[in-house]
Amino acid sequence: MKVKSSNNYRSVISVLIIALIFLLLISLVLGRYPLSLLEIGRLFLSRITDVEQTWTDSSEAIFFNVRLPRIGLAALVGAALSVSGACYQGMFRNPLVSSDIIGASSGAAFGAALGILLGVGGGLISISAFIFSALAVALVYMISRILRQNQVLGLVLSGIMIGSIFNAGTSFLKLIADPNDQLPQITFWLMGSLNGKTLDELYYGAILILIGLLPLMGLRWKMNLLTMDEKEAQSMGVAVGPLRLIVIVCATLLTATSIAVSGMIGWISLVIPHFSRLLVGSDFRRLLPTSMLMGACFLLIVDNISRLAYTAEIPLGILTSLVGAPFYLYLLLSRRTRMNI
Amino acid sequence: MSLEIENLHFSYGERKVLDGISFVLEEGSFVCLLGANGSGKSTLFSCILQFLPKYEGSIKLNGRELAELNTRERAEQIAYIPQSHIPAFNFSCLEVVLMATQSNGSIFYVPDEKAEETAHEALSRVGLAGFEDRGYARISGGERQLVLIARALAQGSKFLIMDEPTSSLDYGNQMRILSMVRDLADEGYTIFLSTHHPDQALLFSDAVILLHDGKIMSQGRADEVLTSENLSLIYGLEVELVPFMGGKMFTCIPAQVLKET
Repeated sequence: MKVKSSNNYRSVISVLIIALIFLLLISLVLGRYPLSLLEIGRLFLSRITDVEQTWTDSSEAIFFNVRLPRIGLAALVGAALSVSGACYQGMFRNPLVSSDIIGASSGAAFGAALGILLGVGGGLISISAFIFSALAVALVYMISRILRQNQVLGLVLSGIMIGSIFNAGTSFLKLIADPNDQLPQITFWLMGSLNGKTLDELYYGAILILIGLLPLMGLRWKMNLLTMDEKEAQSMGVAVGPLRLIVIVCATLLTATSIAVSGMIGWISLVIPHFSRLLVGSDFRRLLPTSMLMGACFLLIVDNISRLAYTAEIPLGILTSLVGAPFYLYLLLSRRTRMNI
Repeated sequence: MSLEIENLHFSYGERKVLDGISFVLEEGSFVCLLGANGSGKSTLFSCILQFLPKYEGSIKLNGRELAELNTRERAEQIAYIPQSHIPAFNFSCLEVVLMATQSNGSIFYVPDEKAEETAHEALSRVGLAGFEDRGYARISGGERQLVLIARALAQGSKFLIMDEPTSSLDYGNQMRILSMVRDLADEGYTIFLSTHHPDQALLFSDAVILLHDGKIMSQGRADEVLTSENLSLIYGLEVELVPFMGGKMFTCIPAQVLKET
């Protein structure tokens, strides 16, 4: 059986780029307060050069303060979560791994909830989320190394254990949070939402996500070797330890930043890399760009449903779980035939 | 490409696994490493490949201490061929072979056209031309082992360490792989291969090293080293060497089987 080739990759990437541009534009246009494409174009230009104002002040406020941050972050978070999932799967040499399974999400959730409770700003919430996410991943990794006879079991068990410790911690924070102010904020945020994001949050989110993404994109060929046995990779000239550390740190930065910005949006980091692998094969040279684009498109679609389908906003975490959980079940049930996709 | 090991010791905690190992492997030789399970074969390979760097003694390749080379420099000198296995992800055969082409040493290295050409040539060399796009996880065990040999060839090193490469293969594939390895030795590659089959060593190797309880029990030409006494001692089973073709070749048969026939 042939694996997906580079010819297939070119068509997939072209389609995804076109889809992403289309989705970005359509998402910026759609909303309870519709904006036209022309208006959007002129609003963009107005920040670069002098353009005669043909739009209302409320259009400008909605575009820059509401819609652009939200749409931009949806694309960035979708891309970041998908890439981090693909990286975790590679580094742990297990296609069933994701940031949810190995405790990265639970750790980040705890860190971000702690940040909200302490009343720190957006940037510090990200740092707190990153520290606890990294701590969770490090603990899961160490425990799975000790249980190396059965790494899959070790990973799942340690992921569940560490995840539940951090979940308990988050529950405790909710218990002691101010029920009028902090508790609703933490609760709604845990369900995942991009509502009420600001341009500042888009800027620092974009910077942190780029810091995580760029090294991973540069290292994506070497990541193929890290999916092999450690000794094999080392015998082919790769400094396995430092390289794996860089990849895990970058993937954790992506997860933590995403969770700090958008709350808990599960399943994307598991599901999107799998779909990408089905389309372009396992080579990280093709897998990472495909996952990145597909994740961005997927979260844009989900976010559009979240904000447009119903009068009240549906939390993103609920929608992604509705797609992700059945897919995970499908993967487990067809594991014998589908593991090596 | 000669390997010199002198007074090598290695312990897992209190347990001594290698105890004063010394030998020299000449360039272009095909040397088989034999010993019972737990005799230290894999540990010896792991020390040479620096997977277990905390050994005592000296391991030199062409006069240079292997411990002093960095990971990439070592990979240019020695290639490691493990037993064929199914990885977590289904890479194509070409992608698996390309993995060994790390020549420019940059952390952001991506295989170029020359690397692709090298990988294609390596696959052709092991008789797998046309397998480039086939999924490595979906081909047979024998073909996977050939892909791993192709990968070692693409790595460009002339010293190949092979850890029981035929252990999970059927008889036909075992013979095909070993014949290919013999050809590589004849082309100038230095081969150090572990096996549990004395007959393979008798058929294909230039020399044999017998490990027993972490020590070298005997080393030299296969027909000199693989005596009934030595084999009986290391495997804990009485073994006879039966000559055929007028005494030009030998095969091992358990004494019990011989008595019963």
